Amino acid sequence: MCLIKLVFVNNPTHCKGYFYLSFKRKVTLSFLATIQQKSTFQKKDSNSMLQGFSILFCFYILGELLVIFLDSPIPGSVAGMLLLFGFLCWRDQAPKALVKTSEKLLVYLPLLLVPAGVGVIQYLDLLKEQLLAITASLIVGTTLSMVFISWFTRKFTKFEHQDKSND
Amino acid sequence: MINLHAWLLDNPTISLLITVLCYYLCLSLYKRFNHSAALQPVMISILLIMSILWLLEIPYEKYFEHNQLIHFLLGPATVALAIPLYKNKQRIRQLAVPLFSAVIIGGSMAIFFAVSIAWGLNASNDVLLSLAPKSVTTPIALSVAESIQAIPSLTAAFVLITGVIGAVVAEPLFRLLNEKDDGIKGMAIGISAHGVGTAKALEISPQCGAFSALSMGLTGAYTALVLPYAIEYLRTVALIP
Repeated sequence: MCLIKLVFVNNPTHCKGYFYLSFKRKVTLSFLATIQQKSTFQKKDSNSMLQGFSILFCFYILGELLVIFLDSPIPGSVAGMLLLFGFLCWRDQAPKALVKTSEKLLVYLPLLLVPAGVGVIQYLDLLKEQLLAITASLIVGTTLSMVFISWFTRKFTKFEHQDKSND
Repeated sequence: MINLHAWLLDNPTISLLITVLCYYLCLSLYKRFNHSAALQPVMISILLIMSILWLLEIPYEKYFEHNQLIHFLLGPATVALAIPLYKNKQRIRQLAVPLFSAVIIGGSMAIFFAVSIAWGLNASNDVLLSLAPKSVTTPIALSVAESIQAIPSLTAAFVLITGVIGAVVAEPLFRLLNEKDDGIKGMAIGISAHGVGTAKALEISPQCGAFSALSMGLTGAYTALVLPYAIEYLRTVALIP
């Protein structure tokens, strides 16, 4: 705010008539406001990204280490995810920086899958050979499991009542 | 001029550019066509990149090596999946019994259906193993595929196609089953059709989307915890090589 006032007072244009002045003032004010907002926003944001990534990398490493020490076939990244989930539940609060970074990273999650997915190019022959089994398994299997889950949930759990009482 | 192709092959930038640009194009296309599941951006960009690699004669090994920068972030991104799960902590606690029973039984049955159908139709061992984690969210499915020594790339493709099928089938199926509860719909979609299905569930209703995302996360965690041990056990009793 100080800066805005200073610019306005030192602005030589205010002898050029009221309309021009008010217009100029509005423009300068809004312009300065956006600049200030932007710069503070970016500053905070870049710091929070660094913090967030540090936490994510730490838990990723912890997960990998845990899996190696326990000699377990569970993937390290999933172990890291569970550790982080446990940690957040224990602290009962998620650091803002972590939440921000994760949300940003998860927006791009689909992109991260592309390089691995392109690997199918190496197995086109295998796919062609077993096309029937694969398509049947994918189409019928997925549909069946959806039918099964909705049937199971309706039949064996009191899901609906609990849900309504909670809403 | 003769060396241009070789130079392009040795420069990681071109491979990275192909990945990012193709994904960007496919994403815009997907948004332009009202988020139609058949245009699932990852699936379409994989097809597009495959044809580009084929046209430019770039070997996949090289492409993948150059894309390590992008691929590496999958690990931290998987860890980051803890945050949406944590945000739904309240709901998990309130609905613990129906949620966990649906995730455990439903998640196991999804694996069983997929593998048994393919087994009945004489699929090979590699394909069966790669089909097993197909209902799980892709980053977790990829790491599970690695740890059970399946083919991760095949798994990625199966997972994506499963998601697309789930998203396309969901609405007519629920109409047929006369299922009106958004919570149950969400759980069925999330457990069997992961993230791609969840995008569809969000269109049905926000509540449906929330349940779908929640059960997707839990199914991922459950499958990653149990499937590797199950496969290890099956290997020790020599049911699978």
